Amino acid sequence: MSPVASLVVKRVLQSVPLACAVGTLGFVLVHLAPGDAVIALSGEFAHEAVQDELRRSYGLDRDLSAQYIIYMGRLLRGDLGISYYFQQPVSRVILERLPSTLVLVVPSLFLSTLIGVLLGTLLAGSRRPRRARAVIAVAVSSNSVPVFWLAQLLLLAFSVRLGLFPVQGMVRARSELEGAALFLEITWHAALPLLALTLHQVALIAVLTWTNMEEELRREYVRAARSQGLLPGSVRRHALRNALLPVVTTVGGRMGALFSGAVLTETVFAWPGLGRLAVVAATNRDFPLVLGLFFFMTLAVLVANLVTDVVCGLVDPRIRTG
Amino acid sequence: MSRGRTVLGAALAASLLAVGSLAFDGSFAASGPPLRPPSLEHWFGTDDLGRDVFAGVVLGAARSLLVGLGTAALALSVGVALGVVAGYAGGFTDEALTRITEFFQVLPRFFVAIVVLTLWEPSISLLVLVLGLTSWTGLARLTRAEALGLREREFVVSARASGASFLEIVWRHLLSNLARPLLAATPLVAGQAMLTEAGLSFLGMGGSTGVSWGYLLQNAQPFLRDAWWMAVFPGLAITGAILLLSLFSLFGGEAIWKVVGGRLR
Repeated sequence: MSPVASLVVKRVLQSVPLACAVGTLGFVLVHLAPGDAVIALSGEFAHEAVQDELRRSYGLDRDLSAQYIIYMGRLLRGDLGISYYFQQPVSRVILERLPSTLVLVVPSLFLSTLIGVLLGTLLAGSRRPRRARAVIAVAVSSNSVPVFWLAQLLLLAFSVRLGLFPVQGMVRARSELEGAALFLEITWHAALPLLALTLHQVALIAVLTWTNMEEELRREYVRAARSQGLLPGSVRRHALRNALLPVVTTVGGRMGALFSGAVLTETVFAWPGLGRLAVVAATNRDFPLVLGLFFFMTLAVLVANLVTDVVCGLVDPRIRTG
Repeated sequence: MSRGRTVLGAALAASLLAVGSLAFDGSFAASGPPLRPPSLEHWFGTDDLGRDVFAGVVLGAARSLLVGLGTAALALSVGVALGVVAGYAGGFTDEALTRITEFFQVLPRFFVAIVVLTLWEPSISLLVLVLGLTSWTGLARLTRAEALGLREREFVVSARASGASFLEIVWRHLLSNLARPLLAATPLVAGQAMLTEAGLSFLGMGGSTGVSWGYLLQNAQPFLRDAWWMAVFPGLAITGAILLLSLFSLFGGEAIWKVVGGRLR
C-alpha cells in the first residue's frame, strides 16, 4: 500500500471510535433529558401514534443495553429519525438545506485562505515593524468582532444605506431565472454574507502565514539556497510550502467555527440554509432535528480533520512516513 | 513595559465597570418613546418598545461577565486537573486522558450548546456548564505538556526524592511554572465563551433568562433599516469586551508578572 493510502486508512480507523463516542453522547443526552426518551426522540408535540411507533422501533420497553445497540445501529445506517416539524426524515431535511450553506462556507473558506496566505506571504520578510504591528492589531480586533454583528454592519452600510446589495434571501421572490442569470442572482445575494465570513477569517490566516514564513525564512536551508544564488522568488516558494502546514491545520481545525459562523450569518441575511433550519428546529422543540444537526456538524468536523491530516501528509513526507 | 500597564489599567477599569453592572438596579422596561436615536436622555437610543438601549447594554454586560468568568473557571479547573494528572502520571492514564481530550475537541461547541439548551430549560448555569465542559481541552493540553516537561527536571526529582507529596509538587512547582501560560490562555477561553453566548442568544436560544448582548442584537435585526443604534452599541460592547480580553492575553500576563515580581516562584 502506498504511504498516502495507508495514512488515509489509519486516520479513518482512528476516527471510528470518536464517531462512536459522539453517538454515545447523543444516546446519553436523549436519556438524560427531562421527561421520557420518547419525547427526546420525537419532539415535544408529537402524536400518540408516532410515540407508540417510536417506542416499538427504538425498543424503549427493553433494557438500556438493547436500546443502546438499536440506537447506534440506526445512527450507523444514517437514520437520524423523523423530524416532527417537517414530517420527513431528518437526514433528508438536512441534506436539502446543505447546498445553500455550502454556497457560503466553501467559497469563504477558499477566499479567506487564498487572500490570507497571499497577504501573509507579502508581509513576510519586510523590515517594517510598524506595518507588522498594524497587521497584528487588525487581526486581533477582527477576531474580536462577532461575525453576525459584522454581517449586520455590512447590511447596514451596503444594503440599507447604499442600496448596492439585497437585504435578504438567496433569490428575489417569484423570480424564475435559470442558468447564468440564476447564478448571477445568487452571487449577488451571497456577496455580503460571503464578505462577512471571509473578512472574519482572513486576518487570522494572514497573521498565521506571516509568522510561519518569518520563521521559515530564518532557517538554514533558506540561507543555503540564497547563498547558492537561488532567486528570491523561488526561495520564498520553498519556504512557503513549509510555512503552509500549520495554516492548513488551523484552517481545517476551524470547521466547527466556520459552520457556526455561517449559521449565524445566514440568520442575518435570512439565507435559507442550515442556520435557519437550526432556529426552526429549536423554536419548535423538534428534538430529532436538533440532535441530527449536531451529529451532522460533528461529522463535518471529523471529516475536515481527516482531510486536513491527509493533506498535511501529502505536503509533508515526514508526517506521511512517521 | 508601558503597553502592558495600559492594558492592565484598561482591564481593571473594565472589570470595575463590569462588576458595577452586576449592581446596576435599573430595569430594561419601557422608559421613553420607541425607536429614538441616541440623545442626552437615552445615550444609546431606545428600542422598538421604548426601552433604553444603554440599560440593556449594562444588563447584558453582567450576564456576559457571568458566562465568561464561570466558563473560564470551570474550564480551568477541569483542564488543569486532567492535564496535571495526564502529564505527571504518564503511561496508560495519559493515553486514556489524551483520547478523552480528543473527543471533546471534535465536539462543535455551538451545536452541543444548541442541543442542550433545547432539551433542557435554558439557564445561565446550564450554559456555563456546557461551555465549560467543551472549552477545557486547550488548557489541558497546555498543562499536560508543561507537566511532562517538568516531571524529569532536577528540582522536581529532588523534591520527590526528599519526600514531597504529589499535591505539594504540583502546587509549588508545576502551578507556579504554569501560571504564565495559563494567564495568557484563560482570557481567550472566557472571550470565546462570551462570543458563543452572544451567538446563541442572537438565535433566540438564551431562553427568557434576562437581557444579553446577543438578545439585543437579535431584537435589532428587524429594525436595522430604522434604528442603527439598536445594533451598533450592543455589538460595540461585545467587540470591546473580547478585544480587551485578547489584549490582556497578549500583554496582561507580562504586566502582572512585573507587578508581582515573580514572587510566586
